[in-house]
Amino acid sequence: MLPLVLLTIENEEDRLFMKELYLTYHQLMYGMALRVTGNRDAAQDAVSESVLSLMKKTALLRTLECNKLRSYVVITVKHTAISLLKRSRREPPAEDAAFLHLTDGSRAEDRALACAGIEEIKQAVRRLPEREKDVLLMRYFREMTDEEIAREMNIRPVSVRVHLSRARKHLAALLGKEGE
Amino acid sequence: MMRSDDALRRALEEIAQEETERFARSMTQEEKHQAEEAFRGHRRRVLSLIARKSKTGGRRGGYLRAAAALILLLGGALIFFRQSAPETQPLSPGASSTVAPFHAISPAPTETPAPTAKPTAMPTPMADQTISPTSAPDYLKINTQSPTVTPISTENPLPSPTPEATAVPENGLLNVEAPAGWQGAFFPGQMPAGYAFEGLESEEDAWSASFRCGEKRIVFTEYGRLSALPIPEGASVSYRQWNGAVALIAERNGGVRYTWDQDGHTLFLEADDGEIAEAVARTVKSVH
Repeated sequence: MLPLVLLTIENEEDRLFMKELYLTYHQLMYGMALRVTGNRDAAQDAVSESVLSLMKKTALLRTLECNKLRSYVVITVKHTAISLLKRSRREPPAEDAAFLHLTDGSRAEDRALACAGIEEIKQAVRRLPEREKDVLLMRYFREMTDEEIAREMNIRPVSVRVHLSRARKHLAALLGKEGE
Repeated sequence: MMRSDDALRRALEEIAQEETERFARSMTQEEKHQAEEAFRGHRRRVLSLIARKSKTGGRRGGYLRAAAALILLLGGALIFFRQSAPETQPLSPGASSTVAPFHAISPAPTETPAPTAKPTAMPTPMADQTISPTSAPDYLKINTQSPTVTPISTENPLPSPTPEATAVPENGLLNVEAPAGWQGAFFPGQMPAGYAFEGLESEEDAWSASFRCGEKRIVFTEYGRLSALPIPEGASVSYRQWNGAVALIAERNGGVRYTWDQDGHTLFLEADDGEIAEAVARTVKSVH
């Protein structure tokens, strides 16, 4: 038995892929960063940080088709820019959510989501508060880990699950109301 | 749950794409111009960042590449040893001599000559990249996705920690000798009672010996050059000083790995029982 798994990433291909990504979507990246931060230096910092985040997801990015890749890049820049802006404004860390008992509600949330159509879910998501929508995007669209989301949102990793649960509950409640 | 998550995922993908499309269409000429200006002033820095990060894969990526290259070599050695059934001399009657997986760990000898110990630069764990080993003890499981190229030798000293000198408690250690076939320059001088020699593994310029007591193992590894292995994700890191060397200690789930340099060699001692690990590490001594 071998103690370690063989590593197989090819750095040169990754470098070329990231370079291509950056050059292809640079206008959208800087445009989004500028719109969020309103400041060139902050926008450039946001793009730098976004590139670093994206480089950690190279394996995932390679699997995405064009439109999804483009939106992944832009949403990443948006989230990163917002996070930077909050840090620069020295906003206090997001309130850590108290632990909730999840077991009773989660089945109801799943039922609500499973029964709803894509358009219904989209409409419900659009009605969520920005923060709840962002945490869902981070988990389900950007496929970020709890630790990554925690860093982005400036909360503790343990609170990420609670924020996700809240967002799902809120979403389920909106879907329930729409279904009425 | 899966179906509900899939629906949510699809919905969020479409929302992200719609939002991106909406943003792209809403960009004014002035905004595009400013974006291009920001890009022009920043492009070289970002491309350099991409090249730098890709080249090294980060410090951790470099160590992972070294580890993975070592695994390749050891895999070949393992196959060779299994086929040729190398002779190993048990240190105690009845001890098995089956080859054990090669673990990188290390402890330190108490009687070694004054080491020129140049601590290796150890990467700090990064939570974002998960690495998990296939067969290491639980606390060492690393699942590597970074590239492996060739083993690297590092000469970078550790960042200046403030190591605390600690006394090693007496815990009933028994004297042991390096087993026949051990080609390293160092070996633990003592092992806790009940630990039987299990086996040796080696490859060019690296050697490993394992001891077992029931479910618990101690593995001593020596690299004939300054080297480093990645710190298991989630492990806590601290430093100790002994015999002029600074040992890096990575602990997780009760297990521990000591890593330090001695006379241009990097030594690792890894144990499932953290309490005895340091005691054994401090007994590592020169054997050649």
